[in-house]
Amino acid sequence: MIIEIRVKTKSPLVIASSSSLGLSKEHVEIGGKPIIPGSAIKGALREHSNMLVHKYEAELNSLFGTAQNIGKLYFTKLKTSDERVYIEKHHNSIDKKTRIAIDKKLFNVRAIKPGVEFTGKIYSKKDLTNREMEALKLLAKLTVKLGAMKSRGYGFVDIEVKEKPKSEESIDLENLSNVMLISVEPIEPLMITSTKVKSYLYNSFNYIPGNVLRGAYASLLNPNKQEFKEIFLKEMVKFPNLYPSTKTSYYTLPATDFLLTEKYSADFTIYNALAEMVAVSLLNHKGYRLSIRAKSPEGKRLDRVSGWIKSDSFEIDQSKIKKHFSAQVALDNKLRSAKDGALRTYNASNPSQLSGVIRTEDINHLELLKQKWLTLGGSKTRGYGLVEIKSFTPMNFEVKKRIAEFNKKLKSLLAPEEFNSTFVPIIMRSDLIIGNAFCIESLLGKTYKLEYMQLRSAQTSGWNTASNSPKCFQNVIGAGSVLVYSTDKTPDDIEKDLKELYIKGLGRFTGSGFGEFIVGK
Amino acid sequence: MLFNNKAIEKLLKEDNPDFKIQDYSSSSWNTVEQKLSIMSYDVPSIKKYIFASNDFKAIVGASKALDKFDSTAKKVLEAEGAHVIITAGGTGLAICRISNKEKIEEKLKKSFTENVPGAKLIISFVDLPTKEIMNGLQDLCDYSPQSELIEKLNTQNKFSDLFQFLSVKLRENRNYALSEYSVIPPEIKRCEFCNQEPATIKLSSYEEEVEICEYCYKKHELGRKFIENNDNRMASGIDDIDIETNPSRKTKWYGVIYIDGNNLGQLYSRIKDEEDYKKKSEKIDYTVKNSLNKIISEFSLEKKYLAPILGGDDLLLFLPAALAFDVFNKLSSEIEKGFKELGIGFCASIAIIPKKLPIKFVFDISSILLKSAKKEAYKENPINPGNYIAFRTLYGNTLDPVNEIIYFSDSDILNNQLTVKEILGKGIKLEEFKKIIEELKKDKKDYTQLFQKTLSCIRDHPVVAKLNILYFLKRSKAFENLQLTPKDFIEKFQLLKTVNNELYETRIQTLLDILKTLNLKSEEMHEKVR
Repeated sequence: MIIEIRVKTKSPLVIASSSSLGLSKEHVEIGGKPIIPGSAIKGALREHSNMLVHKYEAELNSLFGTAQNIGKLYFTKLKTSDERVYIEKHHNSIDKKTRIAIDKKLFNVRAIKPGVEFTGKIYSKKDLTNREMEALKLLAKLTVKLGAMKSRGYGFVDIEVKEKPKSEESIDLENLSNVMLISVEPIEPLMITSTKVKSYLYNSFNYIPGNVLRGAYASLLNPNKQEFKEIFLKEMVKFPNLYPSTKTSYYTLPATDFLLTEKYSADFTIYNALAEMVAVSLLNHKGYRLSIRAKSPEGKRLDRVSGWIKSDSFEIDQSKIKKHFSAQVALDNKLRSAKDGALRTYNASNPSQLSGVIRTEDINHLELLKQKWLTLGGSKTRGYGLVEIKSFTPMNFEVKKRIAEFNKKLKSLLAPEEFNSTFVPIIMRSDLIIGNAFCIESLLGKTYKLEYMQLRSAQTSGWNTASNSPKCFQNVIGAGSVLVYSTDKTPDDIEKDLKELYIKGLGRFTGSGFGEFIVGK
Repeated sequence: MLFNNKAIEKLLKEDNPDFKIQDYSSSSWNTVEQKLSIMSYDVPSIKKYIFASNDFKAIVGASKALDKFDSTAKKVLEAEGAHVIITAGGTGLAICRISNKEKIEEKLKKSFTENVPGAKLIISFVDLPTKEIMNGLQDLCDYSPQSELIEKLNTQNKFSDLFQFLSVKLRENRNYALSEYSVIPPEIKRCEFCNQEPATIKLSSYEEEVEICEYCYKKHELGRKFIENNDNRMASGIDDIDIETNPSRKTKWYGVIYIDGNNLGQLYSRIKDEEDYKKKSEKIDYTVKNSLNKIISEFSLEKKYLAPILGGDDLLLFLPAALAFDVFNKLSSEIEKGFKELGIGFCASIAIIPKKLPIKFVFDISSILLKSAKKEAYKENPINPGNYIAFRTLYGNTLDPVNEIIYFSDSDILNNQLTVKEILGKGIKLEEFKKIIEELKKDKKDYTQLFQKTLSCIRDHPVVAKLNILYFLKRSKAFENLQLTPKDFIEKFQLLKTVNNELYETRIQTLLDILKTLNLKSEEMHEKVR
């Protein structure tokens, strides 16, 4: 359910930013534009809930949550389309006893001027009951002040809430296939950490891990249904890691070590050295003395590419990830002061868009994943982790063409005629958990021989919301690792094998994003 | 010859007492087919290993453990009769007899496990005919690479070709070590210092008891003993990194300087032989260590600093924030002098960090800043980059030292989109940075007032902002003293630099942050720290 919320300022409004630039108090902004954070709205509404508690106690607990239960409502930031919204005001502190201005206590405030309208959305996974909606509307009416310096005449506002039509809540699922490209756009910054830690400092990942995406979908479905068991417990749907990408037409993966570029250069020319690296390794084992050149043909120093690369072209994806730094403090309901030890600092991540590939053994399961928006990661009810699904489209998993291209190049480098097999380069898009049941040498089956590897190490863990306990901590093979196998199979058979493995995933915990790969070229 | 004639001759004689070489000429060595093994070792991700633990003493312990291993490795190798080229900074290179390989590997691994808790050691042996070891790799086949990215390792740079060949082999061995799998079940509590190993030991040396892993405990104990040792000159905790000793007068900040050489690869690619390699490596190492020793005594830094990374061209130095610029000025001049003789430069970063920020993040923050300095240096001259520095004060707990602020973004009356921005933590030419510091020191108060006023108008349309800045300049004593035209003054400090028709860049927040650091005195900071 989506509820629209409008806030109109009736006096100057300042919700202080954590980093004021030269001013004593400055209204919070994101990307140079003023906003009202979701946490500020939630806090203001909740503050007035005491006035309704005698009549709507159960509803208020359900809406805002308690120490034991998460609230139904997810507040997001409010934006304005109004231009030139600021007003700068100067104040001086007055001595309480002498009633005269205190020396050096002049301060200036950059606030939102009266008459500016902010709009945003409140999301709820389950529909609100009539009484819950009634309580929310009453709270909106009762809340007449927002932000800082309320006792100095700042923060008078009108708040209005309204239900949005149901049609805006789900995505179109017309063309379905076993391999679907999913793109999401964060509406709020992401606050995804590897584990739930006792800390005042939270530092988020720049991507959405598959297990977090899986958990977000799992929270929407009824765990007693057969489909739930198939999707999540039998891991028949593979939820991918969603990495930043600038467009919805492709997906990305972490840069790998075989892609080279000129060091510290603004020119993003890429040198794909996978075939060269494999050739050098194979030939050196036969007694040759070869190496990969450390300089580009123009004589500039080469370095490994970092960031995210496009899965189709291996070009660098230029998406910029903004970090959203903020501090929040819980207020004591009675004392109206900050609660001791309740200050949290968030280094959240704010990519403009993320994408990945959902794979499934049964396309009927996809019908259940039509929700238009999801909440992910930590601090969800405080204005973090809300994403909207922008596209969900079928895609092809390319095998034959890539293998042919790679083999053509590799064989041109392997001068001697000794290498007759077909080489199959596998690039891990996500971490690979081998565990004790699998072996890296026979990951593709016994008919494939491991010829070359370029591994990265990684660690993985997580938090199981269902059991409220940590997940295993594992040392795994990191995303971006490369494994090259050789086989005598025909291209058709290789394609069949790889497509099957692609749907299943490699290694363990494939339903949670692990073991996803692409074919190199 | 690439390596010491006598040392190689001695090794060959140990295997074959009848071995004789006519003379030490290249043609004589070319007849020696007998093989020797070149051993190289490496500790992968060494800096990450040092900063894996969120405990000051464990970081000191990890750093010292690696130092200790390098000297132990040298002894082990020498005891086994190997010819040691280098053992420093977690890497080593030696030539040994093939029959000794297994024993050397076993002993090195044993010593490593005993000395460096929780780290991985990668060892590689490459067997080569002595003629190739002494005269460089030979072209053993008729192969011409069909790719510009592949090179045959028999070029003019014989020593670096051999190095490159060894590093290819070392990387292959590293892969096998990385494929090892391990798991900690959820019911086992994880170490509160590193969060990566099972917590098995309770440590009660802090206010609260902490449960930590065996590795962090060993590192912590090593660090503790090192700090307690009377000979040690480093601080015993982050809180000691201050110009004040009285707890009530201490600031909440400390400074971190990170220095790293430019284009070392190019220097090493020109190395002729073992002697040249040793000479240049030692010169780099001596320059950095000697410069550090000079500033320690000149600024009385004993018990007030920490250098967790110190080796080769790398130096990571924690020091009192109030001394950051003065120390850096001296340190960089000393290093510049030494490096110039080798024909190399360096880049650096200075971060002013709140003491409460978890220490494990410090290395990452400094690395990002350093990369920002290098990016600008290479942008200006990709072949021979100059000396650059990036500076940032980290307010709050942000872990993002390079950050863009958009002060103004709007269209003008002609519908051109105009943007005024600042990149905090952007690289600046070292020379320019030093001049700015010198200038700001002259009148900190007036510059602070002027820049604060500039900041208050920087959010306006750039034309309006420029007009206001000119107005403030006319009333500034600092401007008057400098005797520059307003245009030159604005340019000198990059208050509002025109990049192109649509983009203006400023450095205003960075200038104010520099001034705040220059003003760092404990009594003032108590007022200012949020």
